[in-house]
Amino acid sequence: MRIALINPPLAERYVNSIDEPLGILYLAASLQNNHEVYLIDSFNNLLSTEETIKIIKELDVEVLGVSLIFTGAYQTSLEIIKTLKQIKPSITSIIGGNTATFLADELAGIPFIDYVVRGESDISFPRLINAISTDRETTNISGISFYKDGTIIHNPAAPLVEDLDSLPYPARELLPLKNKYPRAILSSRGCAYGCIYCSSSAFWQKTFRIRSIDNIINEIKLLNEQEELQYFSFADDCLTLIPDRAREIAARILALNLDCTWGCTGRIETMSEGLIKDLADSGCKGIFFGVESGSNRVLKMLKRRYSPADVYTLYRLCLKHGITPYFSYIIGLPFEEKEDLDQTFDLIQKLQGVENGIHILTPLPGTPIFKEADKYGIKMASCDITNLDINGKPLITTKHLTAADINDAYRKAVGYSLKALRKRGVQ
Amino acid sequence: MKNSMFNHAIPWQKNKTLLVNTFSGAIDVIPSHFEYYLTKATQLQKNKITDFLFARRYLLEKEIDEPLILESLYRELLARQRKNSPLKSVLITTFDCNLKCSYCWQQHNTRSLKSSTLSVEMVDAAFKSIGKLHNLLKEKSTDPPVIQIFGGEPLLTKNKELVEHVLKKCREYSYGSQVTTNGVNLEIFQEMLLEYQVDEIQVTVDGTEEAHNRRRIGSNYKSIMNSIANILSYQAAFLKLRVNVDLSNVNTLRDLADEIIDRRWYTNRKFYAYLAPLRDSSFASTDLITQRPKLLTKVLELKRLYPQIELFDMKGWDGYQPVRVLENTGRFPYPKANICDVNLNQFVFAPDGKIRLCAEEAHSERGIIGEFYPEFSFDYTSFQRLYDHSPLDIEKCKECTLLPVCGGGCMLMEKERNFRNHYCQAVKDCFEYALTAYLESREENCASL
Ligand code: B12
Ligand code: SF4
Ligand code: SF4
Repeated sequence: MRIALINPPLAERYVNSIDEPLGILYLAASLQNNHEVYLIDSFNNLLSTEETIKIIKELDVEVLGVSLIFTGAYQTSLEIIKTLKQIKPSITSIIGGNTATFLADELAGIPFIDYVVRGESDISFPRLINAISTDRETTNISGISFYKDGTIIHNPAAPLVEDLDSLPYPARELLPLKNKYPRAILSSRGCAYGCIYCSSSAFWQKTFRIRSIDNIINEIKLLNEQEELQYFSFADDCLTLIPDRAREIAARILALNLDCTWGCTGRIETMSEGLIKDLADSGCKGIFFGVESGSNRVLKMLKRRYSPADVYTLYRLCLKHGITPYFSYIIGLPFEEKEDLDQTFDLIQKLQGVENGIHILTPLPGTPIFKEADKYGIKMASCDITNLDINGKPLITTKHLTAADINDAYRKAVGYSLKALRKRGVQ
Repeated sequence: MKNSMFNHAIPWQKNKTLLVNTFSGAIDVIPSHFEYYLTKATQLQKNKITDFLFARRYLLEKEIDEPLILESLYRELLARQRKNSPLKSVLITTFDCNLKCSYCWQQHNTRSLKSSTLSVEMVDAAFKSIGKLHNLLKEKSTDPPVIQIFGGEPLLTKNKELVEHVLKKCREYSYGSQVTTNGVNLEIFQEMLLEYQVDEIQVTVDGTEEAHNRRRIGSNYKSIMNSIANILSYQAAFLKLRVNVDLSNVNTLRDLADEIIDRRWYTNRKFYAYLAPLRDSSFASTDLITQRPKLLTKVLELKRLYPQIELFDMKGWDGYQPVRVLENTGRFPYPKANICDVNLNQFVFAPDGKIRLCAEEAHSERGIIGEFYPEFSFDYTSFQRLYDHSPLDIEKCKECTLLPVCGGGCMLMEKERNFRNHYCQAVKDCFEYALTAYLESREENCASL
């Protein structure tokens, strides 16, 4: 079958980088032996919704698979599917990804959407495609939601991939401008932490699965043979979740003797100087950390096992070993009071010369604060799904802060952050 | 023993003096009576106080020739900067403008000019001369030359074809391109600028909507901001937002910063915003220069109250710049070797067919160093005189304790010199205010640690 997999445009683009859309690259890898697969990466190639539609139309595919990962792509995804269904009613429209998973009920009820594939789809999506292409019954396939005879049916969850090594490597050769993408490697799926504002735990069914280090290293080796890698990033939720494993990965990368740097996401409580040094020695140049707050009290409420002082130590250690840390903060946390915000401002100002992400607490589908807003004392303004955006306007009030307070604090935090960025880091 | 030429004393708290050596970067709070040791340096006996002042380089050995050392440092710093500066050609595409800002220097100067706009042939001739000029420069970056499309206002509808011609030429020669615009016609030109992949667009606003539309009559703030948003969404061209400030619009900075933050432009790596203190280059009055210290005080005070204003960088504010560097790097900067791009590989092509080094004097007979149209000619001696100008060349500056932080006056603009006293006072006041405020805030912080 002719299948188009789409990474749709987002309402707003905040990142300045190009990033491989690994979800559809993995799916394409599982499908491409038996089907003709096309990838349209609109988000990274800055294609508008209209341009995306035009390309799909020209490809004249039989199946349209849209990757609705980000809430910000909700509207554009629907517009793409709706328009193509109008142009070619025989097309089978399928939607999957993080946001699609948690909004499956709503999406499956939309007339122009044929199937929603929930959660990890490496098993269920190829099954669905094979059934469609051979005209077999689709209604018994696990992991899918659809509308039938006036009701929305959610089949039981699909089994998770038991052995991640069994998956083919992402089908990068299908990317447009394939040599332009800095490569992304996914060494694990899931996360063990379960932060209140994050859907990872719910999405990956509370599991944390890893690939063998041999399998990961082979992928890196292969990429280097193909194109002389200069930079790659680990797309894992948290590469350092098991510190010894991260150290081993680093040691194996070092042994490859590449002329290449890389980046990843780390969790503050897993970091030690030994780990930082090993990562740095093997070419790691940047690590993203979620700091969230500069208030000890708030960090305790978030069940974090680090203090602002630990963050400062980590910052010094990273710089010492030549790694640029990137820190992210959330304004509007449920327990946060004005004094806590002042402490966050202080911490931002202390970590000089590095970039920060300043975000606003936003209940995204699938997160604990979305499911149990009351428990966290959060009141949510009504809005379109597309506007659920951690970089957007505040949509919540908490027990202690109004939306206006949150906005004001957000703007201040941005100012302090830009001021601190101009300063050279204290070595 | 002798006193360093660059000891600058600022009254500090009771009976104390803040002593700064603007050359070495030494900063100390000293009992005020130490100043006596500096003024009488040549007659002094060695003692504990002179040892201290000597160790901190406020007092020097007699043989040390500071101007000579400074001069050679200037050469070194200039060479370093030039090696990072590609040849930049400023094309004054036209002297015409679609706005009538009261503070604009060109309005007053260009009204009586015969030729006000470049022709297509002149543009072609300019591009041909660039190659020759490039070969003349010894110290330059290896990056390709950059064309800055400048005015007047370069983006006038009547000049659309001319601008497109320049952009085509840039593409043909693989030169970089920049546009400096008041934004009035950005909406009309944005597609062209994006299509030709212009590297940098600089747009000016004068505060928030109300302040901007009031001062820049004929300009529409909303249209400018929407065009900027559109350009940024492509993440292709670098967008520099210049915000003109003076005492009458400084209070709108908070709202402007809020708007920019709410538009999330700051997350875009292609966006940069900075504050430019308004100057009256028409020399109609000294008001704006005299107000400068008050303006700086106000901006820094607002930044403390509303940190979002930190969004705006403040590079190049006379007198404040060294303190900004100190604040950001923990070190006092090197002496400022140049005050503009005249000695940094810049050539200006004006509608009269002449080549100059300074864009602000593009209308005048001063500073002509050659011709690009109808024939190419180049006067190396005139070029050298400006290109190698040193801050020590101006008599008054040579004696000034602030020379390393100020960079000295301009040798082209006679008029500016008439106002030199006001200007120098402003540099001094800004420097002293900013340094004291910075040190005081550090003291406060230290006390709280
Ligand atoms: C890498 C990454 C990015 C990259 C690239 C994203 C991409 N397109 O792949 C970049 C840097 C662009 C990015 C940006 C952001 N990200 Co991000 N990102 C990730 C991360 C860490 C990994 C993505 C990944 O490769 N996953 C691995 C693959 C295998 O999983 P997958 O993509 O989910 O795909 C599987 C299924 O979803 C499904 N599937 C996916 N597509 C499709 C399509 C069809 C048709 C079907 C049937 C199935 C299907 O099958 C795939 C295989 O099993 C995820 C977290 C995570 N672990 O998934 C967050 C995540 C996607 N990001 C998130 C967020 C919040 C952001 C930002 C908003 C944060 C910010 N900094 O502001 C920005 C948004 C950018 C913007 N507007 O400009 C959230 C999304 C929340 C939401 N509901 O919107 C996530 C889930 C993190 C989290 N746990 O909260 N991100
Ligand atoms: S935010 Fe990060 S650490 Fe927290 S649950 Fe999500 S993926 Fe895990
Ligand atoms: S311009 Fe004035 S302040 Fe600057 S160095 Fe010359 S005399 Fe001193």
